[in-house]
Amino acid sequence: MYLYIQLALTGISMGMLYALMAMGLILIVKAVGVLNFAHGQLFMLGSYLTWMLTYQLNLPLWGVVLCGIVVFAICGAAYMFCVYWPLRASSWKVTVVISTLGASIALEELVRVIWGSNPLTMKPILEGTIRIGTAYLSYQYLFIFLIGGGLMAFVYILFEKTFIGKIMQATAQDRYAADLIGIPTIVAVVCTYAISMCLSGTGGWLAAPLFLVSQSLSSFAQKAFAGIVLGGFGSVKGAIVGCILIGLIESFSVLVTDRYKDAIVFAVLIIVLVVRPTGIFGEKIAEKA
Amino acid sequence: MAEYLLEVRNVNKSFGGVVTAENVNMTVEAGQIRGLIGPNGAGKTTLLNLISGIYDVDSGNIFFKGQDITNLPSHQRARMGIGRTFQSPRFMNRASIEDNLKVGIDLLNKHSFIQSFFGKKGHDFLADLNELMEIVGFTFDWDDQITALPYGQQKLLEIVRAMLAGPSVILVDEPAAGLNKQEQERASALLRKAVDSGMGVVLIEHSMDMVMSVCDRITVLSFGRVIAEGLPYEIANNKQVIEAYLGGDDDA
Repeated sequence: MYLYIQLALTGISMGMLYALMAMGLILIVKAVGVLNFAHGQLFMLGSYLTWMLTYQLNLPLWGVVLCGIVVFAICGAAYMFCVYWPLRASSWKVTVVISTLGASIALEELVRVIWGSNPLTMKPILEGTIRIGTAYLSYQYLFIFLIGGGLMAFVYILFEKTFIGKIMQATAQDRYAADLIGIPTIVAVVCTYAISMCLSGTGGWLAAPLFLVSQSLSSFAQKAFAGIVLGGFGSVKGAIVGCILIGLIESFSVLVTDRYKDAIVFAVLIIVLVVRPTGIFGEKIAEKA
Repeated sequence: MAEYLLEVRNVNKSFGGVVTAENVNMTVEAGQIRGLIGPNGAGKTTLLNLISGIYDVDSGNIFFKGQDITNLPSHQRARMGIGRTFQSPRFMNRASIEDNLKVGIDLLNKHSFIQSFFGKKGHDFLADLNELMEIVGFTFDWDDQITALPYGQQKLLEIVRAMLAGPSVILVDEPAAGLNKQEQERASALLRKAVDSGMGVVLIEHSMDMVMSVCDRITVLSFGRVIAEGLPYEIANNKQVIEAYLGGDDDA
């Protein structure tokens, strides 16, 4: 029984990590209509940047958090201006997608040049474990759960309850029209990229103590993509639910096999898509007359 | 020289080899409705897009209240006071009517993003809204999704949204398309209200009844060129216009 609770909590926490990345991805898709294939690398960059703030600049935890937000936001904006903005007027949308693929390689190489190829270790926010009956769970998973949940609530409130969120929504839904009612869409797009990077970067920071700071962290994006597809492409709510399901499936699959748990995750994804091609919360896309 | 709200001076625009604006000149004064008519493909919507900054001109200038706005981005032109509606209403389809009406209006109230972040709203525009809603003759629930409204009401509400932002000029693209007779009359009443309030209006419309009844002056475009300009009765009797548009086979 306690094992199941442990697996469930671990699965939800992992799902939260995927969901942080997936939310960032969806926000960018909604804002500029392009899938960002370098999102895993932004997640990885987040872990390296927080490692730099913690161990190279020797900042305390609160300093890492505050500086992290600023650095992530700046990186998100810089990423937008380098990868998306110069190509925004391209008549072939795939150009930007290819640009994101190029950015993924460039970011990996940049990280390798700056911090080297060897994985780096990072201490968890709070060391130790919590005991649940006969099972144990690292505090880090609880922090992922709490911080991830808090960020999701923040994004919800930002987009649904604040005016700047409405502006970003307006830009995402119809940039052309938003411009013509006086919305500086460039600000909305920059904000979206900055928030997206903050989400992914925080995910990287939270994942680093569990998985080491290394370039392989970028592979988390595969699970985030899987969660997005499972939840229904284009829906933030679907992405969160889909990612948490992916985390749970991954976590519980260790009961069957540890070696092939990724295969189980993607097998379940395929089965769900055969039964329900639009994903759980997906909507049928219909052209309006 | 008359003080124009909006002046399009010798504007040229082509896409590849297709010329959509050739030495186009047009003016709009305060309290005037300028009709912009022509067959399909004449370059009417392109001209609105050039004025609102969606497209850049190849050459020529656009002046707003005497200031050259040719190189300003579209959102700045909107904030200066150039409003716009579209052939098909363009709203945030997943948002409420309230959000749709308020987005844009608050920005035009010159609120900063920081103020917006803390939910500070602009001046109470409910009085203006109620006055305009009396003209359009329907009511709605603030919290309803915008898509819950019928098409005709969405089109009227788009004009209302543009007017609520307090622009000096509104560019109105085919407001009567898809509307029934009663809704067309209400759209005309809205435009009259706009000019009574001192706004200038550029009206693209295929409904000749509407154009002839509400416009003060009319510019006729054909293949990107201005082929006639004048008072409605002059345009209605202009032989070139009748050939190119009113009496043509392509009666749009």
